[in-house]
Amino acid sequence: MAFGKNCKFIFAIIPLVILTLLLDTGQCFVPKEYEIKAAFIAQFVPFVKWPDSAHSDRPFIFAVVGEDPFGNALRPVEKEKFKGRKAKLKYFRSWKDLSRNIDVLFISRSEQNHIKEILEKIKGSPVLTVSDIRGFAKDGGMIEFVNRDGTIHFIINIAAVKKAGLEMNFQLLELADKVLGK
Amino acid sequence: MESCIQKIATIGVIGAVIIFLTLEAVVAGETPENKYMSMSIQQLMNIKVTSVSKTEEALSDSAAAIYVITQEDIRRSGVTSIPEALRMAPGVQVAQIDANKWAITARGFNDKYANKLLVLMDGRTVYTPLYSGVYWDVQDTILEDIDRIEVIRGPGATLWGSNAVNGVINIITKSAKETQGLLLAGGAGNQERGFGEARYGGRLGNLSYRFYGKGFYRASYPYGKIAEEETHGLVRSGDDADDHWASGRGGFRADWQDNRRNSLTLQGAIYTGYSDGQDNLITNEELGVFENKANLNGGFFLSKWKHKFVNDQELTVQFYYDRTKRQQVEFGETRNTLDLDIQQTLKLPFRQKAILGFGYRYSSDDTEGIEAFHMDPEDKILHWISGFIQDEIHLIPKKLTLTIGSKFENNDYTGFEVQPSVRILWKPTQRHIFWAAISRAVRTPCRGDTSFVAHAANTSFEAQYGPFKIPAVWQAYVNGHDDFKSEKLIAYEMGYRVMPWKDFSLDIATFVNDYDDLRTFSLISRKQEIEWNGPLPEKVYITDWYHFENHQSGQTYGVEVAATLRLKKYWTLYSTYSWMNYHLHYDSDTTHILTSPSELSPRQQFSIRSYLDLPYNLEFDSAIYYSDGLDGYDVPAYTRVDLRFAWKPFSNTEASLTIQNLLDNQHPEFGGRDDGIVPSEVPRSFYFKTTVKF
Repeated sequence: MAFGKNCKFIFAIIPLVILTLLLDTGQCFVPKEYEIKAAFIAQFVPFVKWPDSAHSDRPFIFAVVGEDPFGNALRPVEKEKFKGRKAKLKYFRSWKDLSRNIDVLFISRSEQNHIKEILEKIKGSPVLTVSDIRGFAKDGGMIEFVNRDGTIHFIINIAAVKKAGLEMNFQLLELADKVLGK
Repeated sequence: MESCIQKIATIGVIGAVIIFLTLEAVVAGETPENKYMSMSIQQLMNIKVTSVSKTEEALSDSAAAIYVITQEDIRRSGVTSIPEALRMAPGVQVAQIDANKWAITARGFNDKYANKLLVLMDGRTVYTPLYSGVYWDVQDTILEDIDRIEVIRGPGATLWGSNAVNGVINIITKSAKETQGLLLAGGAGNQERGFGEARYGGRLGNLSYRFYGKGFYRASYPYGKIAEEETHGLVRSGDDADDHWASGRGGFRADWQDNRRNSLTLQGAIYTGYSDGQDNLITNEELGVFENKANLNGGFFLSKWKHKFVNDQELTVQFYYDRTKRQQVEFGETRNTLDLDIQQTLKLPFRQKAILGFGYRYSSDDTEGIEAFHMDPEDKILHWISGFIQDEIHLIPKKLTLTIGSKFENNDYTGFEVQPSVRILWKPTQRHIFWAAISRAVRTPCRGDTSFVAHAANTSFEAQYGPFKIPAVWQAYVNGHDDFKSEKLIAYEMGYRVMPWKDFSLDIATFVNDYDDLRTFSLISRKQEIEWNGPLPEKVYITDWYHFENHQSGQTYGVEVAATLRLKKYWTLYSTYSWMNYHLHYDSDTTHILTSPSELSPRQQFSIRSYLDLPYNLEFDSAIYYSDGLDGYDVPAYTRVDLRFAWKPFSNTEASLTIQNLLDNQHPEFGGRDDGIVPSEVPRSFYFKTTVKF
């Protein structure tokens, strides 16, 4: 037998296997990628101006439509104030349940076949739309996350932003990899 | 058996600790937190998301057996030196001889002076023409700055030139653009007694730059049974081998780019240090073990200019100067190398892409030896002039590619050498690649083959002469000579890469290498004189002459497999398996006295590496390396286990604990008999490391 020191070999693997089982039964954790994307979403808000009329009497609402990739990573926004208002998270399981009464909307990759329907549903409302679905900005979304050299960057569709009645600070546009609809 | 139980217990305890820590982490995770929340957008854009796993990338499109060791591999394996990182590649044999010496080769023929592997750092050849091998104790940089190590098994002579016989290793560092900001790292452990690194990267307009400094001190290893036997008991197993190693190094890299047509890279470094060790020598009077400390100094400067023409054809001009100075107790070498390389890519009709190249290298050395061990002549200047042409013909776009080419090189020893190759790549779908290649490569003579002179004597032994036991004086002379020919190889290779599922990829390469004129070291004549005392023999004088000759030929063949399995988003396994065999034979009239190459490399090697991302920014990585034993040196098969735990409390800070060689108190990987050194054994070790980036 080639592996003369068989016993060692097997026992070195055991902790690994146990660990994996443990992880699998335990709660799943959020990939770093989405922790960072969650932070991005929160950081975008100060650069965007909502029309004064927009629901200033209720909390500032961050919404996620589709399968939630963030887990707890987006939760900390609820501890902070945005535009002088308390923030709240809202989750929509499917695009069909989507409400217009929100301020920021993240569209999960699970909804990639429903971008049109989703955008149609919130058309005309001042909602900042963000997604990491490829081609999102081109398809009429506002901010699309892209991976570049292992880091996260974004593309902005300024035409879509204006159409919704939002204003975006030029500093954010400068940070974008690309600005569409200029 | 008892030690086995002990080890199982050790591992069990470690396992339990890990599990406990994990549970702790999971329970503690009730209050949600996201440490990135407070960062600015600019900061967020600079954070590397978990590196792209190898399976996510497309299969490599090269018609050669290539394996890439990534920065992620280097970090997560916890290796602290370049030679140790090479263990991760299939088909590469890495054996540590003592705390600072390695025998490293690809596809066999391993030795401290292994001479069939070409090693380059950012295009700078780091093998020495002294013995066509690499002094691994001076090849270093900040490991965090290495982008990747490309390991190509099989001949790469057409592109890279002589010495790329069994393989090419390309160590590629990151562009200065990718190493912006301040990096501070440091740590210590039982073998790594202390190390520190600092790097600062900045930008001035289109110019990015970095400066770095690094230093380490590594403690000595213990001797083992092999050292005890080879020195006839002069050293004892378990004793300290006094093979410390320390080095300091500083350097820079600058990358400049204008409007995307021109780019310029400047690099330089200087280093100083020492690597200690023990020689096992027969001198005029006695058999003995002597300290042979090497004082190491050197540096290099490299510039590389690239110009892209409007039609995407590219011109690259690279120049470097390299200086090494190595002063051992009885031998010293100072070498200055100048090298110029020019390459032009051409787009030709019928979907052809050609590369033309020209190279000139000048290498002058100045050696100092003693009567018993020196070079003759002591100083020598060598020149190489080379040209190459390679044409990549896309017979069917993106499906079938034929690459033909040849290197033409003129060297001072054997004159003109031609090293052609033909490679074909077939990619029926995105997930299957077949390739095959036939190539010729040569290992041209080095200073050692042609100029090495040694004299050894043993005056204190007895020889049997007929019925009498009489005192004998034995003397041996070794003379290099200019008739030494190039070692030649014709290699037949085939490979298959497949990605049956998104999360699994497999790379299989096979080879048959047909060698001719391999180096042998043989007794070419013996003279015996007897001193008579009347009718009785009183003393016998034996004088032997040895030469390097080219009296071995034959085949090696083997299979190398590399697999990547992404079990979960947070758990990836890498595995390699290599098997090879030798069919070498000596010419009938030769008496090679050194160990045959077939007994100095393991037949089988196997490894599994596991990278596991845990919640709360913890990482747990483990690696198992198995190697068959070596018949030539009584090295038994060994299994080495390395573990690494890392925690990133903040996104810019990483703290880690690495345990190497967990299962053994110590184990040998190579012997020293043929090379006249006393080997030591690799002990269990651990170290802590902290890295902070700003």
